[in-house]
Amino acid sequence: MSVLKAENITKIYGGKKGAMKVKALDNFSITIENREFVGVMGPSGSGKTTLLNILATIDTPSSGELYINGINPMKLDEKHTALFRRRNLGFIFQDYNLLDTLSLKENIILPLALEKVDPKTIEDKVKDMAEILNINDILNKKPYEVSGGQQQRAAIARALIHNPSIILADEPTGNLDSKASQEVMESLKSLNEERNATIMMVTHDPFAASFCHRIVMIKDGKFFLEIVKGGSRHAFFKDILDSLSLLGGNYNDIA
Amino acid sequence: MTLRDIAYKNIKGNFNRYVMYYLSNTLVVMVFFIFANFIFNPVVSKVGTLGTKGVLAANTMILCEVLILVFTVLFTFYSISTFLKSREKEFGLLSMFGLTKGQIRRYVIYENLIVSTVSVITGLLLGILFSKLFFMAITVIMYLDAEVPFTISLKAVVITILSFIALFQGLSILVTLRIKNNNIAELLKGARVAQEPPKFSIPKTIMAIVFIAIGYTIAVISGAFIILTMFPILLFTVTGTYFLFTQFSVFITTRIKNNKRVLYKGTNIITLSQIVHRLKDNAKVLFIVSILGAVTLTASATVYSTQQSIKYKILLGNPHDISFMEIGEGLNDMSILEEAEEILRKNGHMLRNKNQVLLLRAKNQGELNIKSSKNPYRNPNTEDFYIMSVSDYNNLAEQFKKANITLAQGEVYINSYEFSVMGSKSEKLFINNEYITLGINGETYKFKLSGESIGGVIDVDRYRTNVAIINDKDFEILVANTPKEEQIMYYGYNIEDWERSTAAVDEIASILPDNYNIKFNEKIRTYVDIMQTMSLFLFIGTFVSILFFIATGSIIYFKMFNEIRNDRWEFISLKKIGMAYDEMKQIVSKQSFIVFFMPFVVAFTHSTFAIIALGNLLGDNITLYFLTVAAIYLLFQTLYYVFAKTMYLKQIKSFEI
Ligand SMILES: Nc1ncnc2c1ncn2[C@@H]1O[C@H](COP(=O)(O)OP(=O)(O)OP(=O)(O)O)[C@@H](O)[C@H]1O
Ligand SMILES: [Mg+2]
Repeated sequence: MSVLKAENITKIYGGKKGAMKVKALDNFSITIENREFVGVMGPSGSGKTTLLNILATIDTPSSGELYINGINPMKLDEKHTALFRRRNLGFIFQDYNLLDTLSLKENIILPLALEKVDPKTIEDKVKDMAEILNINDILNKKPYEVSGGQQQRAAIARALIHNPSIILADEPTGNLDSKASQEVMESLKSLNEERNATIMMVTHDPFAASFCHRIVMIKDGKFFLEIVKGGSRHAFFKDILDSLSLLGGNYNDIA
Repeated sequence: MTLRDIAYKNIKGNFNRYVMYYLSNTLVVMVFFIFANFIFNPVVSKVGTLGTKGVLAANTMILCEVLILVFTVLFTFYSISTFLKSREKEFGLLSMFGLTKGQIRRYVIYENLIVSTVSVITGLLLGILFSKLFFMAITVIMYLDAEVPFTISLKAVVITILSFIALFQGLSILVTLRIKNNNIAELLKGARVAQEPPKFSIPKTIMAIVFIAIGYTIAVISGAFIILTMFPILLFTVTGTYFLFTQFSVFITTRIKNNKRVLYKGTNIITLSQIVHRLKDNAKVLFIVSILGAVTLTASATVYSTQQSIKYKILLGNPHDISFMEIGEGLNDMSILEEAEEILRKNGHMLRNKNQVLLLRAKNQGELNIKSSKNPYRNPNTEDFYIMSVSDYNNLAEQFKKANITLAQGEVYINSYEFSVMGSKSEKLFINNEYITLGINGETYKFKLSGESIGGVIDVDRYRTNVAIINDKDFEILVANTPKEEQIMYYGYNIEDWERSTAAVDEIASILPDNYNIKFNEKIRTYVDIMQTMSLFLFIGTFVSILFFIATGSIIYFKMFNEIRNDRWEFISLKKIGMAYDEMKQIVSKQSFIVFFMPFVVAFTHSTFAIIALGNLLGDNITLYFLTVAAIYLLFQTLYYVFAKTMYLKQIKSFEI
């Protein structure tokens, strides 16, 4: 069974009292299998964030079906949606969204604390995560005391610590320079390979995208094309650039 | 677009943030105006016409005006500072766009000018509306000699406008001087840099507990010396409270936080981490609120309980409303009795009881063992007695719903009573003696003491506060041995609606015969006088307390709302990672609960000890009154808490992901 299956998702914004209707997603379908690392790319305004929000159950589609682990979260009430989200999904945001009052460590254990996991297990898990993400030395610092890349790696640890079925990332490298981007992407890659994490990532950055197994391109809310990694990451990077030039829009100047 | 436009738009857009500030200001202006309007009322300013209590009322209100102004300075200063602090990011942006420091200042001053002008205007309008009501209330409470005619004093209007505009503007200029824009990067981070983990010092934490403990201990053991120890107590407790909020609270929450079992449990991790910061950031406000709360609670409880115990005391000492004593029974012209009855009837006061009792005078002749008391201000009269027969006593006891007594020959039962400055606690005086030796008309008699009760069935007077009741046979013998000149006839009256009979009593007092042997006693004028004065204090006190209460509550509310803006994205990200609304509600409830009720708990404990100390001084048990006042206070606090929490949650719910 696929981890995530979205069928014919349409999202229409506005339309009430004279407001212009915007079709942000138009019959879009996507399926993600276990252990996959999928990238979503597309020009600005093509509907990527909208798609991610719908998959993340924090927004509802105008029509279409969504199944995560075979469950349709749209059928749950507010409280159960929240619980479902917290247990099955992990999030990584462009601006990290770590809480300033908490140390990195406390931020990371938040999902486990909410589930009232016992402290011993929590400690073990944090240690394990910090090891992989190489943030051991800064665990007791506050978010504003560390760099953006380090904050993002802490956020990744938080997204993964409760072993979610899928991690949803919205431009995780959007605020980072190339070195920090590379570190973050390496982390995601190793989590995918060593911890079998299933990841879906929205990105603008072809370099970040080259870490994925396959890339889904989206244009004007519709599926545009899909490319699958064949050989090396370098070759995949070139493929991505080529496809982006097909996609048009603001990608032309990168290629 | 001018600066003024930006300021105006900003207020419209940030209505929620301004609304509490605006409402509190309006309220303060309103109360100030109502008081001022009373003080400047032509009738009130013509001091004589209102009688002494009117003058007292006016003076108390002048004092309140000063208090309100001082309080407004504090409140406004604090509100504007918090407000500006929460907007550092906005100022950072404005300076990025090239606004100079001076321009930003002017922008803030415009903004404040708009809000304060609007609040002064609405405050004035509301003040004018409620002035009439206030005048009516004052007239009723004080049974003022002359009705206060309702007028709007131009002077009051001008003074209110000038004081508040000057105050608001002066403060906002002062506060804006603290805006610095030398580091835009810092400003842009806004509140984010302020989140240093709060620190505490161990010595100061210990001092918090030790100082408060010392203060409490002195308060409890001082007894009547509280007047001397009051200042050290205040010093210790206030300093201790300050450390309690700035140090101890951080210490204790940090300790709890260090316990992983507690911290890693559900929403605790967020609640605790945030409350540490919140307590530290709000320590000074919480401190001020606690102290103000303690003062308000203690003061209202004291005024209220003093009123109650004086009332009790007066009623205890005067079972009759009006009484006459004729010294030399049957030897005087007692036509005054008929005249008095006539006056009462003329004034519409029906007689309820009319009693007549024969009394003799006696003096203590033995060594008395008087129960010692803790209170050195006590000085009861234990030497002079009236003698009464037991059947007379029982007749009156029936009428006043007291227990009957039976006495054998040679036995005595004593009604004791003690005058005191404050309504000090009454204690039985003679009960430790087996025998009482009384000198009556030159002879000495020894009676066996069968019992004692506090308060009796006839009015006491300054010369004789105690009544000795003896067997009828003994009494007859004594009467037979006493010449008419030494016998006393007591006439007592109870009238309907006695609390409103001051005019009639005045009239009676004015026609008293010029006869040294006829004595007149009444409780009505003293009673009404004391009750009115106390009610006045209570009324104005309540007014000012409510003002304090709302304003301090607003400060907390105001801080909460500024913080919620800063925490906005935190709540959004929590929502994103799957925190249910119920859980957020839990976090918010716990946090606001602590912030709202911690000051109450501290204020309550402080007041409890103050009341214990005062109880020692007054010698009376005022716990019940205190608890009543505290319960009312708690009720208001709870209402405020629920209101603030609801608004807070509404705001959170509105955050879109
Ligand atoms: N809340 C909203 N109300 C109305 N229209 C919206 C809303 N959110 C997004 N849209 C519109 O839907 C379309 C898709 O927006 P979306 O944010 O999903 O794009 P995106 O691919 O994430 O763009 P970017 O790469 O710039 O982040 C856009 O045309 C946008 O204007
Ligand atoms: Mg987007």
